[in-house]
Amino acid sequence: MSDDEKDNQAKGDPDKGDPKSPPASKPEPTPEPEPTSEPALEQGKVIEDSGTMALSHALKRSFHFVKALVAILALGAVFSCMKQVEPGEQAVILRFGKVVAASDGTTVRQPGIVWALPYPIHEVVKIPVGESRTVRSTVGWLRGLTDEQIDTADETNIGEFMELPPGQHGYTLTTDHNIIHVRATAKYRISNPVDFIFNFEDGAESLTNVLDNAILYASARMKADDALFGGEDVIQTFEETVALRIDTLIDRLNLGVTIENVDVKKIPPLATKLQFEEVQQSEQERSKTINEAKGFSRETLERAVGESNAVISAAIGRSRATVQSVQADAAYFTDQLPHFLANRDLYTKRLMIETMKSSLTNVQDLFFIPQAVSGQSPELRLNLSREPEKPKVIN
Amino acid sequence: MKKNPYTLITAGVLVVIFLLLLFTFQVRKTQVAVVTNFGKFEETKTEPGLYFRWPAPIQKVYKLENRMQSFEGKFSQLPTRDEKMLMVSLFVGWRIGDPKIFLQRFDQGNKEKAEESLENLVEGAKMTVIGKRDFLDLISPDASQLGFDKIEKDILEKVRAQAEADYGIEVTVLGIKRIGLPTTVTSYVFTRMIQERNVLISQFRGEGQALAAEIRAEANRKRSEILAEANGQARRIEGKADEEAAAAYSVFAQNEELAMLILEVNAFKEVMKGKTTLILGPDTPALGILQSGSRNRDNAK
Repeated sequence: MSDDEKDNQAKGDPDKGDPKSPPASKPEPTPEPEPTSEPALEQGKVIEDSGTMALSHALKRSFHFVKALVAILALGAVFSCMKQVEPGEQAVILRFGKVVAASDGTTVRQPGIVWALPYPIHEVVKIPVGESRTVRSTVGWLRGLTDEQIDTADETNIGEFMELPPGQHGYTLTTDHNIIHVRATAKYRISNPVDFIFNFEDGAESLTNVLDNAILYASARMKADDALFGGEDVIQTFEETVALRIDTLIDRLNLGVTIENVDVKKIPPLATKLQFEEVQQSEQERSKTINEAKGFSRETLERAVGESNAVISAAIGRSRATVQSVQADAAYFTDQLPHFLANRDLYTKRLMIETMKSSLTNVQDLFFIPQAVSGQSPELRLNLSREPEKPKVIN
Repeated sequence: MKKNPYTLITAGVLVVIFLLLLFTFQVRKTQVAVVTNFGKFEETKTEPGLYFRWPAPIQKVYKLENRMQSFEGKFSQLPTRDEKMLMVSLFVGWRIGDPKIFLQRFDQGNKEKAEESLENLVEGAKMTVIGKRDFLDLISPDASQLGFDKIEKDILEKVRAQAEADYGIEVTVLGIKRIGLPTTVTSYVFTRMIQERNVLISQFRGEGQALAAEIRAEANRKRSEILAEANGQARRIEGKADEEAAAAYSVFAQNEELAMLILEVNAFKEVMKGKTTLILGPDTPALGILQSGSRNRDNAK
């Protein structure tokens, strides 16, 4: 019965497009084909030989085979109506070229099985929405040079780039009428497949145009130095300007994509590469020199503070000692005064003797000169610097 | 054999398919179709779907792209109002606005011919619009002065109506794709950029040295200040201590003789702290025992 099913499907839909469909195609109860055709064969022709018999059997068998084949084909046709939408894909089904909405009214089919009749009745358009795609600007960069060649360019070959004929290498112009090279690479995802696939012959090309326009636009609003290195007074960086412009244009076009990220690379022209590097170098030298001076300054001031603290604490120490010793003397004086007043002479002598006693124990050498005999003046010879003087060397 | 229902069904299906092919046509979502009757325009089908038609010699169906297509115009040189030479190319996104006009104008809807005509139109508008602008309108840090968007819009406005009326083309988007300078100007720009860099280089070098020297001098000056301040403070502290000491000394006034005695003794002890060689005369007190008898004692006093 699968044969009938297939026939029904095949003409079920075209009915409305074709008013003159023949009435013969209505399924009618089919009598068993074998009994009708086979006896006819046998009755019409008398069994003449076993060869005919064999042929008839063979035919009968092949007829069964054909039936089985038709059944398989029909089954195949049913399965061919099942279309798999893979994860990361979405699909839109067209019937006679027109978008068919699902039962819930949505036009975009999510991953899973969708049913569709063979072309030209239905068409399943699959859109890889999951994968993120990359598009790159085409007008701002040096053509035909690898990143490594650009990085390693030196005085031997940068002379070639002293002139940039139009169309050969790309670049952008900045507000100070300088030239820089810019390359924007955007990662994007299709967010609205119907817009992206059915409104644009080549959505990726349109996106390339958007990127190209964005880098020109951003350059046209900035000085070369601000674009290349950013600056403290730059309100919106080059990258931000590019990204914003891209978003604006995508909205304006209804491109149906979402930008995941934009990577912007920018370099000064190769002809000026050495000077740009030297500027950077001299800038670094400048900060190094200044940092050294700042280091010296910090160290000097720290040392000065240390020294001044030392001076002050020494002064404090000294003055404290002075005051204390004077106070001690004063206390001692007050203490001794009554004794002194009691007997001046005795007190004085005792004090002198005590002093001598305690002092003489420390003395390294002591010479005593006795009273001269018979009024002669005493004579004493001392070699006070007993360590021999080093002989002076006279050349 | 002729009565075989399978044969009949198959034949029926084939006839249906044949008739469908002859009498219907599809317009895909991405297309727009124009039907002609004996070569004369009959109707336009802008909505996708399945439509009836008369077979070939009677009616012809032309299917055209309905999506936005884009191309890049010439990267051509043109003068601005302030007589600066500039090179600009535009990208143009367009779609068929009026299929009837488009088909008639471009030889059965030939896309290349259409883009060629549109490009010529856009080139003319580009020349006119940019020729009325200064170089700085296209490139300016001042967002209010920047005519980037305005120039794009002006060119679009200029071509839109004519493209629609003459070519049946709807220009949906138009933007600057490429900006450049004539070759000789690029080398002039590079020379100027190099000079600017050289100025910066010497500026940075000089600045570094000057600033460093300034910082060092400043540091030394501050150091002297700090030390002077510290010395001043030290002197003030000692002065105060001396005052206190003087106050304490006032006690000594009670008896000058004892005061002198004590001070002398203290001074002597202080002197004797180091390694000292002492030569003593016979009159030294406490050494009287080294002399003989009372004469010595008399002398001692």
